[in-house]
Amino acid sequence: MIRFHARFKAACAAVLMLATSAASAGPIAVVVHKDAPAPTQAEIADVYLGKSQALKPLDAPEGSPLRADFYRKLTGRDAAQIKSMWSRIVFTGKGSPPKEAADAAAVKAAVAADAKAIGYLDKAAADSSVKVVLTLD
Amino acid sequence: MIEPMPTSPRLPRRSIAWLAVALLGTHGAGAQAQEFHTSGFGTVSAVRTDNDGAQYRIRADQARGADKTVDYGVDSNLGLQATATFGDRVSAVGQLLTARKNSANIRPRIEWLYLQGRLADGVDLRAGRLVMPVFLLSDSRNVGYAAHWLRSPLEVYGIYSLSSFDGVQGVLQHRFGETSVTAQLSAGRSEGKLYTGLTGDITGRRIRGLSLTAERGDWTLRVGQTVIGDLQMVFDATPLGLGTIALPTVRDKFTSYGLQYDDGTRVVLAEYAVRRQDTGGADSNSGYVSAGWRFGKVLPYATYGNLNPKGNQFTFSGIRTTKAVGARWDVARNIALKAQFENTERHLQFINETPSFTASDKRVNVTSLSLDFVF
Repeated sequence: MIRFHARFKAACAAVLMLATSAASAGPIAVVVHKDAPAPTQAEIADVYLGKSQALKPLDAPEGSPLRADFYRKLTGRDAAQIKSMWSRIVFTGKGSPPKEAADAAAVKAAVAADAKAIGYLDKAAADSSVKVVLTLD
Repeated sequence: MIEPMPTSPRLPRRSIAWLAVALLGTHGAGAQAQEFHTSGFGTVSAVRTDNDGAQYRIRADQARGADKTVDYGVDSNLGLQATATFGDRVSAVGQLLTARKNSANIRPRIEWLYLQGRLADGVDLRAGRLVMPVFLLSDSRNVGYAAHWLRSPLEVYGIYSLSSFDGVQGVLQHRFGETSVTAQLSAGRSEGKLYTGLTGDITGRRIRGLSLTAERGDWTLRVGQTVIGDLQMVFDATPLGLGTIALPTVRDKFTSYGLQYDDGTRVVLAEYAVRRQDTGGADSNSGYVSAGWRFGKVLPYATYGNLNPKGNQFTFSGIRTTKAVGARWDVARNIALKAQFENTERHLQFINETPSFTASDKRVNVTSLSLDFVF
C-alpha cells in the first residue's frame, strides 16, 4: 500500500518534471569532506560520468530537479544521456552509478563519514561541516 | 561461409564451482561491506526487409532472420546482471543474456561471470568468463540503450565470431593530466556456435589480446589487437550426407582502431578493423563511420559501413557497403525508441539464400524499429 503510494507520487513528480520546463533551482554546491583534497571540475565531471573511480559520488534522487540541474550545469547533458552513458559502464561491470542520497542532510552526513565521498546540494544548504569545492550557477 | 558472431556456451561446471567457492570463501573470510546489486537491459525490435530471397540476421548463431515477413527476434534480447561487492577490493559480476540462438530456441546464456580484484589503485585483475574486448563498444554491444544507433554496424561488429572468452584479464589505468589511459591484457580460450546453412562449433585457443584506450574530455581513442593461436570451425554436414567437416586450424589476428567523439550534442563514431589469418581465408578490411546530432530528446544519425573481403573463404566478392539513417528518441525515463532504414547488400549476415538471390546480388532495404530499455 505504502509502496504504491510512494510510486504514484514519484510518477506524478516525473510527469510534472517532463511537463514543466527545467527551471534553474539556484546555485548548486559540490561538497567533500572538510579535510579532503579539492578535485578539479574536470575530475568531478569524470567521477560523475563514470570515467574515474577516484571518488565515490552521491546523486540526488532520480527524477529530482536538483539532479537534472546538476548534470546539465556540470556536463551539459540531460538525464537520459547520463543514463545512457552509465548503461555502457554498468553493463560492462566497470563500475556502478552514484549512490542516491535522499536529501542535503544525507549528503553532508555521507561526505563527513568518508574522505572519498563527493556529493552536491543546494548552495544554501551547505555549511561549515563540509568543504565546497565547486559552485555551479 | 565466414564466422560472424556466435554465442558463448554454458560455462563449464568446474569453473562455476570454482567461482562459487571463491565467492563463498571471500564472504566467509569476513569481508566488510558486502553489497549486491542487480540491473537489467533489453531490446524489443521488429525488422523487415524488401527481399524474400534471404534472411537478415545480426549474429552468426542465429539460424533464422528477417525477410519480407516482420521478424521480432533479430535484435531482441534481455540481459540481467548482478554484481556482488565485497569491501573495496573484490567484486563478482555475472550477466545472463537471453537472445535468439537458433530458429527453435531462445535460451539464456551466461555472457560473463567473473571475479574482479583490485590489486592496487589502477590495477584490476579479472578471472572467469569475460567479454572479448575486440572493439570499441564490445562490452556494451548488447545494450541497445547505451548506443545512439539501433544496431552496431555489421561490417565491423558482425565479422568477429567470438563474443566471450574464459580466462584472465588485467586492466591497468592511469591518468596523465587530462587524459586517462587504460591498458587491457587478456588471455584464455573461447567457444561458440555458428549457423551458415549448416550448424557448427567454433573454438578459439591460445587467445591473447591487448588493447589501449585513451580518453580525454569528449574524445575516446582505442587500438586493440586480438590473436587467436588456434581457431577451428567444425560443421555438422549430415544434412549433406558428409558427416562432420572440420576446417583446418588457423591463426587469426584481428586489429581494430576506434575513435569516438561525444559532446552531448554531436556524436561521431568510427572504427576500422583488419583481420589476417595465416591461411588468408577470412582476411578482410572493414570499417564504418556513424554520426548523429542531438536535438533535445531526438538524435538523428547516419551510418556508412564498408567491408572489403580479401580472403577466399567468402561467398561474395567485391566491396560490400551499407548506408543507414535512423533516429533515437528518448521517449521516457529509461526507454528509448529507435528507427533505422538501411540499404545494404549480400554480406555475412544474410542466410538461407535462394539461388536467385545469390545470383542477383541485389541491394536490400532493411527497416527496423526498436524499443530499448534499462532497469
